[in-house]
Amino acid sequence: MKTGAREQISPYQLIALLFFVRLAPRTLVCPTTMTVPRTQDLWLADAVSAMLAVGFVFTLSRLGQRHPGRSIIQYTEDLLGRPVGMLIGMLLAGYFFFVAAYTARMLGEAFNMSIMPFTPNLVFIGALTLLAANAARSGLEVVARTGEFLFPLILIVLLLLLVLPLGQVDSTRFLPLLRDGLVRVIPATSIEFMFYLEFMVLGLLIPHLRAPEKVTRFTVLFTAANGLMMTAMCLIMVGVFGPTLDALGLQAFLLARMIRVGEFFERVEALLLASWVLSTGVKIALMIWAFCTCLRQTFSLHRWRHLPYAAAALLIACSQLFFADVVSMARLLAEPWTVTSVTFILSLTALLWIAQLVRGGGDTD
Amino acid sequence: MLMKILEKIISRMAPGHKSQDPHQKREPVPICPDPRNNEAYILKAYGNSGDVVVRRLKLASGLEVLVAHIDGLVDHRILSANIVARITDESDVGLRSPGEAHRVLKDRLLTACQVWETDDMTELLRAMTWGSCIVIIEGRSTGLYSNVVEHKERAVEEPGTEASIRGSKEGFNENLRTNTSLLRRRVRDPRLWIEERSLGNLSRTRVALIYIKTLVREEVVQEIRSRLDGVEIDSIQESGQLEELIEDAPYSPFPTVLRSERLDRAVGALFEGRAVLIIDGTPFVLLAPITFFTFLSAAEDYFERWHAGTVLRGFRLAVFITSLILPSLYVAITTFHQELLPTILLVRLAAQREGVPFPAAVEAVLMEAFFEVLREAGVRLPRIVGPAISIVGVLILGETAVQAGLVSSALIIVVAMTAIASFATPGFSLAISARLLRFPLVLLAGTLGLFGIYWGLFALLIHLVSLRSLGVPYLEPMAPTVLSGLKDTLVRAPWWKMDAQPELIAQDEERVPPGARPEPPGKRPPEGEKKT
Repeated sequence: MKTGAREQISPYQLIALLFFVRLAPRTLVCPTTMTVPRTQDLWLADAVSAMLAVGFVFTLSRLGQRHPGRSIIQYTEDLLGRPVGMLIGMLLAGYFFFVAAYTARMLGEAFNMSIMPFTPNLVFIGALTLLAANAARSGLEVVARTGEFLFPLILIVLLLLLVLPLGQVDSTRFLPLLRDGLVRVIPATSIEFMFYLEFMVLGLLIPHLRAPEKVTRFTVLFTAANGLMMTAMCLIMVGVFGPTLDALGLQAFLLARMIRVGEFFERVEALLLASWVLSTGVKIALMIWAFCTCLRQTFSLHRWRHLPYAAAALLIACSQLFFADVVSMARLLAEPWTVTSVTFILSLTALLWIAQLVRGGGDTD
Repeated sequence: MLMKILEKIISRMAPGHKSQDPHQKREPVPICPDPRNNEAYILKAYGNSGDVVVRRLKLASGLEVLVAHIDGLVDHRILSANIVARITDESDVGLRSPGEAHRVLKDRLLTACQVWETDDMTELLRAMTWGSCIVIIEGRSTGLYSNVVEHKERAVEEPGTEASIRGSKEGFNENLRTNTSLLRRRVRDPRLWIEERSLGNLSRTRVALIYIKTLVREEVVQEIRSRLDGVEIDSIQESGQLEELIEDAPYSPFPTVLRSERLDRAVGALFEGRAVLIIDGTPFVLLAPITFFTFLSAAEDYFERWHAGTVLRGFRLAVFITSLILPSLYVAITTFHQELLPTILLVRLAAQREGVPFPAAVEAVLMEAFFEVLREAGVRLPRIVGPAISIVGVLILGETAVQAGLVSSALIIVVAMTAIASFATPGFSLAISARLLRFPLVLLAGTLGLFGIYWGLFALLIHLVSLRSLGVPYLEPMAPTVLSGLKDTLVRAPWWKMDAQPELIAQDEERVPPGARPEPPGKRPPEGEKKT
């Protein structure tokens, strides 16, 4: 794996990578609708979680800016000492590994549920994970360039999904709004926010950024725009499916199947399937890279050439062992994992911010 | 990873390869003052070859002068008028001492273009193979040689493999000097630099590295020089050999060097800050660094109006993708995803495939392989019987195969469309890559349906983004994104918008000044006021 200091990415590439990180859980299997009842207010949960995500990304970017050329693991060691830094490094490695594992499983389940029910999901997971490991081994630049190339193409597919079903949106399906009160939106908001916290990978990407001084502006604007887009997509889904959304695990796929413009433009789901494979592939590659980088930096590894392949092998096995089926995966993600990851990531960010204030004397900009 | 394993296997298959040093330095062979010894040495060195001509002429003073050349390589008129006649007509000079004779012959008398001097017989022998005539004066341990080569060459013709409707009809031929002169005539500026060297221990093939000094990046030229210096091979007969020896990714199915026999293509590349490699003996020159999108552009894109150029590039990208994935799409949809087809089409396809004994993947691979055999046979067959075999192959066998129920007629259409699409790709070497990659994609589609195709395309994309051509990313300006480069990628911007050279390839030089857009008189700014 090439992870030398020379590897640099542009702000555009960073944005493309973050786009794919958030896209996978929105267009593949959706644990929120599978576990939270009455998801008519899902769009509200998405909007709130996006706003929270903006705050999180702002904090993380500012932390990164104050430690130029240092990753989150490295400046955790600087601020909290080597033992704590190592512990955080290992926990982050585990976090990125788990994210990669459930993303891979989501893809496998999505293919099983949509078009290939008889093919074992291990085949999809195995094939894509090995390819992603190969990309991760080639280095961050290769992963970033792959994401950069695909970004406009997948964005077009997403825009088609946003615009073309507009004719089928029924505004009455949004009603009644907040029938059970705002409190009932909190579980869905937490799950959606949990997915936004995958932007934690920023902590490892910022040192590789070609213009680190612009990172806060870029990432905050992107997160806000991405939040808007995801909320708009939720709105469309609620507007099209209404109360039946609760029963649907693959809303994006079903939405794509409903698209028909005139008598000639249909079967958009074939494009969505392509976006599944490509965007999930980029995300898994990025997560494998992040996992390997965490281990490399935590244990000061000098030889990490075959680590991505070992990680991929473990990932394939864990994606099968962690989740018995799609329902248990959705439940695991919606409850214990949401609580664990939100607590861990927010605590870590808060701890680092406080340590920065104490040791660094506040805002140095 | 796979590449490394392959590399190790190949290196193990040839264990003694590294130990042999093909560039063994030869000791210089001194020139003997006795012409008879020199004559014997030359004849022995060439194994008394029938085309080696060695003559001993006499000056008026009685001194012997040995003159040797290889018949067929030299221009006899120049040889007689400028060398032999000069030596034999010196009866009135009376050059008695060998030293004086040598000096006079070298400075005044040998009136051929250039005269070189050496004390190494090996160098003289090598010069003879380049079409030089060598002259050794009795009593001297140094010899002279002069270039009297006769250029027998094919005329400058329209390139056979890269035809165009608009643009120059001049193509390169097999003569290096003719080719360099063609470039000189198109770039009449001293900043066009030509570096020449010989490659191949036996063939000593002349290779010219050509670039415009102020446009090309110095690191690109340095890299090409170092790669050429590293070439160790016995002979170079064609640019394809050199391409394999200097390319960035030798195991990749994608070419990272562009070959062309079009003069305007090479000139265009020079003006974009690329380097051109001309190899003596072949009309195909090499252009580098290049990107993937270079293969989708044709010379006439720049000569037609920009709208046409842009649309044609879009079509070419579409046909390249078609030639790559159309058979695999057919296999995936007919095998796994019938729901993607409109009902009427699905029923018709099902009716056609009824009775076909093979799965769609096997059917597609067989037909594709059959077509490749036909194409190969079409190239090798004598021209007279070629059309007949094509008729037998394409019409009779294709028709009969459908009637016999071995393949479906829909597949014949797919294979034919794929073949036409592959011929429409301007970069022939890229079309070959698509031909090769089509087979694994069909197998993936037959195994995993659409997922297999997407997986294959993702694998190709990862490979493509990791490729470089002399340090330039292969998918530039799409990945990494270079906004200025997008003007000449899938879109061909108007010439008055092409204000700069390709950013990652050439040095930063202005190409078209700001305000070059033509405007009618009423809208034109007053004289002296520069537009921005």
